Amino acid sequence: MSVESSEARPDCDVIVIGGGVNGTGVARDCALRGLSVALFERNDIAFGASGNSSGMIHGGPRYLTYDPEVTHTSCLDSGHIQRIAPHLLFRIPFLAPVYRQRRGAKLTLFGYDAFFDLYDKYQPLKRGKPHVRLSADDLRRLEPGLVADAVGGVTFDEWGIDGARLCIGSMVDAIERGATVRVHTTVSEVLKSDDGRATGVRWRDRLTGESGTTTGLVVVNATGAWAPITAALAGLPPRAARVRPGKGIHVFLDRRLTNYAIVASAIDGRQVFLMPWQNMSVIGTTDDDYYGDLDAVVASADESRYLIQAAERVFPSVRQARAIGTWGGVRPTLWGWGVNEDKLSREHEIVDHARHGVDGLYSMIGGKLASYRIFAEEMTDVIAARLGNTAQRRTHVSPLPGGDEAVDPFELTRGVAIDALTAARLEYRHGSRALRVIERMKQSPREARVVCECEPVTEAEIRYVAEHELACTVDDVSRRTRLGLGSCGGMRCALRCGAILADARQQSPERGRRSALAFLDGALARRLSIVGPAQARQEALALSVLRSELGADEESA
Amino acid sequence: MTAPRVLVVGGGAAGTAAAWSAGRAGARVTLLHAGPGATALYSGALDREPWSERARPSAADELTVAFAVALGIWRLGGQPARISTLHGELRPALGRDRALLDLAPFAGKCVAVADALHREHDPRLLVRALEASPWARSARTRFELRDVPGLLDESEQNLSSYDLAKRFDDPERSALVARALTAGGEAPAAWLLGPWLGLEVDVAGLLTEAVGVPVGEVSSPPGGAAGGRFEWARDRLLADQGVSVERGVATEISRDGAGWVVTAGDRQVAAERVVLAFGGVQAGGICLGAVRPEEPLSLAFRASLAGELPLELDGEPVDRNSTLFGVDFVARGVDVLSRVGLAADGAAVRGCSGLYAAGDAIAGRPRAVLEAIAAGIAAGAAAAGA
Repeated sequence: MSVESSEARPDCDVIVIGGGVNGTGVARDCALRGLSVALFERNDIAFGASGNSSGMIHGGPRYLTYDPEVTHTSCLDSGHIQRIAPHLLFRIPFLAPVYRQRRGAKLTLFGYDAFFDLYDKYQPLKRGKPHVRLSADDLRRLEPGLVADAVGGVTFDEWGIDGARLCIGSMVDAIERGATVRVHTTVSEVLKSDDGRATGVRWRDRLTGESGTTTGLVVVNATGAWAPITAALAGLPPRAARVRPGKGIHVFLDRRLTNYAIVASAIDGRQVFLMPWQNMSVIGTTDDDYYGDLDAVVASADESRYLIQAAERVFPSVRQARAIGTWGGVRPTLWGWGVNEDKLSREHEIVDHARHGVDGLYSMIGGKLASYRIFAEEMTDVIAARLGNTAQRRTHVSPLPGGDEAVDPFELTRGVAIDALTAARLEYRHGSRALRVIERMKQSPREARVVCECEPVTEAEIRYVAEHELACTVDDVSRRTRLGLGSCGGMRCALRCGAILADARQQSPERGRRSALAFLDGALARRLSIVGPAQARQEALALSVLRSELGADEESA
Repeated sequence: MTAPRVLVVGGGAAGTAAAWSAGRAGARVTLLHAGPGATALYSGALDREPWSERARPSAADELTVAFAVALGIWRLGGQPARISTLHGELRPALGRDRALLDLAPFAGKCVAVADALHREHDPRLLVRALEASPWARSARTRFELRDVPGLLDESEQNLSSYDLAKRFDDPERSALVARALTAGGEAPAAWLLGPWLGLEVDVAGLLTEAVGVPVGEVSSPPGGAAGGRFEWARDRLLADQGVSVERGVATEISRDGAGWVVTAGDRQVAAERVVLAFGGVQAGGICLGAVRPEEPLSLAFRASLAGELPLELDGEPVDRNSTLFGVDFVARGVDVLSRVGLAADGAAVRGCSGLYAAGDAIAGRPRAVLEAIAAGIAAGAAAAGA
């Protein structure tokens, strides 16, 4: 496909396909360096692996033994992310118990201790605390819920983050610096000039049906597990941007069982963890080759049981908690043949498709949440060099929206009718931008009303994310605010959220209802695989009750 | 020959109807229930099929109407009503809780919506949805948001609508509301309020009388006032009928000669005939339990009641399946839970003499209260029969 004269001025410098952590990261970096950017996301920001990861900015201790340079970079970058988005990070102290049944348990413990001695050298880079070696008694005291036959263990320190909020932060910053971002807009073709140079994209908005073309000097394929599909849109064979897609799922439980993340072994010897997340607990994660529909990744019953079984062996009260949902994503790991999923490299690489005959098209392959910033920076360096841009790298010092200053949640509650918990969650998600949401409540006190009580999320925040963070559907709102992810599964809030969203976006109430329904169907599909014996009845009940409120389109009378 | 002793397990619409019908047929009836179930969480609307399926409405049968009359809180029979859901969809309903406003008579008229913000009810968004609804547009029914000072105080905005409805039972409160609705402004054709118009008292009726135009409410959220009214009316009906009511979760049912013994906790209740009406739509009146206690991860369908109760899903027995974990919920789709039921021949459980089943899943119409009642009436009568 050829487009008119290459002399015509393109619509922008850089076109980014994909709104995950890498795509939004590149868009932000380019915008910070003064390049004009257009980003296209087929679903929603953080729809794929970025919004469905374990949510950890870890230091990469697993690389320490064979590639300490990677650990060094990871820790350094973790420190940078803490600086630019301090509100989004929370400390996760890990406990790694060592159990008696394992042969040579004492030796294993000694090995752990020595290993983390080494890792401690990198901890200051990310404000991490040094590890502590624990006796069996120490372990019991710290976490009485652990099964009793440990010989000891170690602690180590990592950082958690809300991956979706990180992507939203990058996106908002990019937009405020002039970037154009289109969500729910799929790229149907990468346009090329007669001599094979990438010149732009043809796109279609999946919600409105609107379509068009946008031209640019460089096209970046930052579509994660979708990368081979995206490459094919430029007429390349899928292997030109090959990944080995690895599905990872998490199960979350309705209560906070422990204040520590706990390392456990699954039946196949893989390491999994049980981790506190606000008032819930999360068990993660699996790693399996995945060749299904990337737009509909749902945890299977087998995967969920695998995780719960593993966590239960070290922390039996997992069984008493109620599993209220799962999330799943597909890692875009670097391709390799004959390698076990866990052994695949989590490294990243930039593919310059000039070598496949499409100049100006780059694919970002692999990577992980913790190293998104540096990956985006490397990509932007390539783009800048190509376009003769010499602006400085600033993503490690320039704060993300809301990360510029700390605000006190208790101060936020002054003069508005919200409680401290609502304010604290708001502050976690938005940092200093929480003040803007509070300002809405002052202008319109109705908006202080809590819509989702599990999280909690106010009407003001729903309207704010609709107006400033490109939330188009109830699902999008949920991704940005965690609305509807609590134990009621959105039963009490989804319809109201849909009505508010339709009002904020000046759409018909009917459209709001459809959006709520779609969210509820998705939530139920994600919950179905972990429904337990007693829960199945309640789920059926909840479903039936909800249906009484939901109809198909009104008949035209 | 003495009257048979009938035990009804379940206190929802189906169980209550079964107890009522068995009692009328002369049985000595005991009803065992474990607390709020599907009916206690209903919206106040009565249908014979899920309204979203839009089948042609067919009138309820005579016995069902007679049950509704006995219960005393429903309007059933006559023209289908047009009610507003909590979120402003105007849906048809064969019958309704008497507090729900029927909008069908107000074509071409103006209905006032009281602007009282509550955490489960936003009048502003409600009016927006009502105005956009195709029914209101074609009927030219208009909706007007009206400020009614003092309808709710600020602390009540966060009260559950159930608790709020309880407060409206107070006669002083409803008198106050009546004054607020008549104070100033042209009288509308009707008033539409939030779902809080009383639990035990017919507040909607009192207000309609005092204000001079129909006053009613939107349908209830799950666990709201409509379910509370049903439970209250049920208890009154069962007491009037001399049905003895016990609270408890049935955990086991076993043969006892020609009759049955049902275990609930540490109690045992013997009866010649048993009607299983627990759970309603909840998986068609069955519990789910681990098949092998030593293997807690197994998650098969099975009645928690001992004894072989045959289960069906879409006409197929569910005890035969090819996975270690029983029925695969995921593969069967999200609706699977409301489609499982006891294998039944009419009201009787297939292959179990003296055992009857009732509920909307038994009736093959999940989520339809009137069908659950019809199934309950049939099961109660069959159980009481010679």
